[in-house]
Amino acid sequence: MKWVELLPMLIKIGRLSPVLLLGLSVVYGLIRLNALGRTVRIALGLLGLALLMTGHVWGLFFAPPEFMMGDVGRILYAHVPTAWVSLVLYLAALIAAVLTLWNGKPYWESWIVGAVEVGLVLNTLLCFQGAMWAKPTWGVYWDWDPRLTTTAILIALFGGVLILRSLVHAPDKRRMVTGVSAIIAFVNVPIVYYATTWWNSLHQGFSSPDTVSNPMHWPLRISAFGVLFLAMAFAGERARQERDKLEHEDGAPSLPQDLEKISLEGA
Amino acid sequence: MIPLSSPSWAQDATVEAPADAPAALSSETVQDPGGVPEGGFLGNDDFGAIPMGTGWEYIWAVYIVTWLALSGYGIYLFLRRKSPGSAQ
Repeated sequence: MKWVELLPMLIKIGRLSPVLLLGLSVVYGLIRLNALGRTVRIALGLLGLALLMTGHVWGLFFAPPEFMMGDVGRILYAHVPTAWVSLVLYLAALIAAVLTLWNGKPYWESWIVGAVEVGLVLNTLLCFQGAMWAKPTWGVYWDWDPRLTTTAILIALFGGVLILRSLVHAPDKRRMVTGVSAIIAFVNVPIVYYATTWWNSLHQGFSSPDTVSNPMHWPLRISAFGVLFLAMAFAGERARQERDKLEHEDGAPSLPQDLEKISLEGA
Repeated sequence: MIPLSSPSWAQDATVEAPADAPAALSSETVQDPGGVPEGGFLGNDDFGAIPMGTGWEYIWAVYIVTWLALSGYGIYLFLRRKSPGSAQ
């Protein structure tokens, strides 16, 4: 095989790398953030709220109507950031699950719970937003389209992780069950991402600044960062609450040593 | 990639071809220009044009529920933190 034949695949990977880099940065940010204390999380949440409000007001009242869908296209600024951030949170849950199984620390287990719970909130919201957009454009609230179906399955899978975990009481066993089930649930995430490519889907491909007209870029970007920061603050708080609970159960501190110092300073 | 049902305004519309219309569109006309359409985004060309001002009830439903859900979850986390027995 000549290298030229690999070029399209390399371009595809190159296009995906900013998403992966963003996901990994968020995961790292979440981990550090959790160690930095509540004040930082509250500040990040407030910044997220301010950005989200700015993006939504811009999208609703100042951005131009979409050229085919008219005003209904304004749902883009709420729907697309919700989709992006829910998948990023599931990526965070995957990494936390791998680390949980790797070193058995309740710290990482708490991150699975934080990321999955907030991811589920966004995922459910995403399905509602999608239904509201589908009705005026497709004529129906719901269709068993590959993208829609796989997204709904995500709710069942990650909801299953939390249900399964609540049924196991022994800490070590519960940690393993949570980690393994989160990894299994994540298998559906790339399927959601590529559903519009692999199958003939009614849903359009993933929207991004590359596929959106210039006047729509900024409200979309600002809304996306708003949801991202807000979700990071929520997941950080939820993980912290879960970690405190797990530490109380286990009777031993769970924070890795390198983060413990920062946590004590930031508390 | 066909809309599942046509909106009522489209069903009521009557389109008549002008007498001097060409038998078939030229290849130049139907050619996909590629790239992002001006004022829109890729992938939306499966939908018919929707008149301006249509669908604001859906738009408001999305934005109101989004804000309610996010603020509701934030309040839930806050109360969970404050409630007796929860971790501090």
